Amino acid sequence: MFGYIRPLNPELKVADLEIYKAVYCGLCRALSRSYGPAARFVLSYDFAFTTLLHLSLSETAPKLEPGRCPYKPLSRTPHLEDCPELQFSAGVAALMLYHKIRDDIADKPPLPSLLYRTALPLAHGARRRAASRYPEADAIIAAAMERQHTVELCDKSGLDAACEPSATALSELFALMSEKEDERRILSRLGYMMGRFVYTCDAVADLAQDRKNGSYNPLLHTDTHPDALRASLYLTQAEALSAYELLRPRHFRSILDNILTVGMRHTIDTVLQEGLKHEQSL
Amino acid sequence: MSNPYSVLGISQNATDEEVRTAYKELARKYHPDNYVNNPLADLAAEKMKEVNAAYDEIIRLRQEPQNSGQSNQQSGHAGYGGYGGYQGQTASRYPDVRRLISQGRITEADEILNGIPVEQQDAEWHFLKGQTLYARGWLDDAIRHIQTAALLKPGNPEYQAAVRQFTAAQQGYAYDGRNYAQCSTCDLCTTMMCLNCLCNGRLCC
Repeated sequence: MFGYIRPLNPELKVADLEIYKAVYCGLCRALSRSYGPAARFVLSYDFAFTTLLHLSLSETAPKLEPGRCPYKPLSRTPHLEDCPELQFSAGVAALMLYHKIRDDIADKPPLPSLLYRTALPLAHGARRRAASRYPEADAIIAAAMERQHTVELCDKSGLDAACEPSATALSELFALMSEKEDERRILSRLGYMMGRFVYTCDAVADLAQDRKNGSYNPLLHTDTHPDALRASLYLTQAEALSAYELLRPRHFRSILDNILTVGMRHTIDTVLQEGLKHEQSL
Repeated sequence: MSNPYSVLGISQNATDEEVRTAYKELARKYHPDNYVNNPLADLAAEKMKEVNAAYDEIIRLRQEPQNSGQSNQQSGHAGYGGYGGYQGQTASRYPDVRRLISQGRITEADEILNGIPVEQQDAEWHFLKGQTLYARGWLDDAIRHIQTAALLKPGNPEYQAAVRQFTAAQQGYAYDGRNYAQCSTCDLCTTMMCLNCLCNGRLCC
């Protein structure tokens, strides 16, 4: 994923910002511990969100502990203590990276794909470890990649169809976060909408580049009028919010509220402004 | 049942006003209108029931007569309960499809709809197609079909209500409305108007 699901920091309480940073640090550590130091590069806000969401449903209170970041050794920053939720998000991140790299190798011309080819063995090892712990997650992501290819072969498919594989993948991955049937249903709808949101945002952000390179982008074949895109993204956010409000987060409520309301809204507005600015200059 | 105060997300020492505000906020959040045809509508209804019960319980505990009016209003909220609530207003050509959709059996509903030849696809067909797409999360296509339904039958209140619901969300009201309660926005407007008058008055004087 690409870092579109994030809080609007100025609207966070100072204490919440500390917690958010600590979760982010915890995730970075978990990635490095389980999948090697290079895995830290997969770190993104999206996975900080999945960690927060997952933990918010947990009975036990998440613990922060003080520590030093190897990349910023001078400051002592708290980080989230290792826990299964953290490992799950780290595992999913590693799996997504592997499938993304494989996908990029297939897509890109020979020279640029060389870079990806060198990264593949590293990612492959990470994937093996992650897939052995989370086989369902691996299967979900692999199936989504497969479906994405089919959708992309048909240039005429609209945005809904193009979003479907990513949205379904997140829907199924989110559902893995709970054992309770009701929660799984809510998470599944929320995941679908978050997948739709991330995919659409990414399509908007890459639009100019994809048009230049002649790469696939669903928006090249649909209505790219800013108002139509904004309407679609706002509606997606509204649907995500309707699902989220049915959850009972035990922890991190104010951070999650921020992400689902002002955070997503801010992302939509920024992505549209930035993405379509280039578009108009073409 | 869990502590009614924690259901409303307030402390036991909350004032009556705070109780009312918290209740109103939650009742608005889980109002059936926000979840019409949503695949999670049943869970929202449960939440609504829980919030209503908690509010009633707090009122009972406090036994304050001035709140009885409020508790009437609350039962009014509960009375909405109209999931897919416009159903039955018009004689449906597709009662089976409607039943399947309300049971969440979207794939089966879709199969029936897809079996209907294009020349027979009327306004209701588009409306129901929109509902199945909405349940699956295909929001853009859902709206297109629902708008087509509303265009084909401009007088139908069911289709118009659905179009309004989507249009509001598309313009971002869903999120604004939850954060800055719609009523308080009205209040805000009135307050601003009053303030304006006052200020103008003062300037004049």
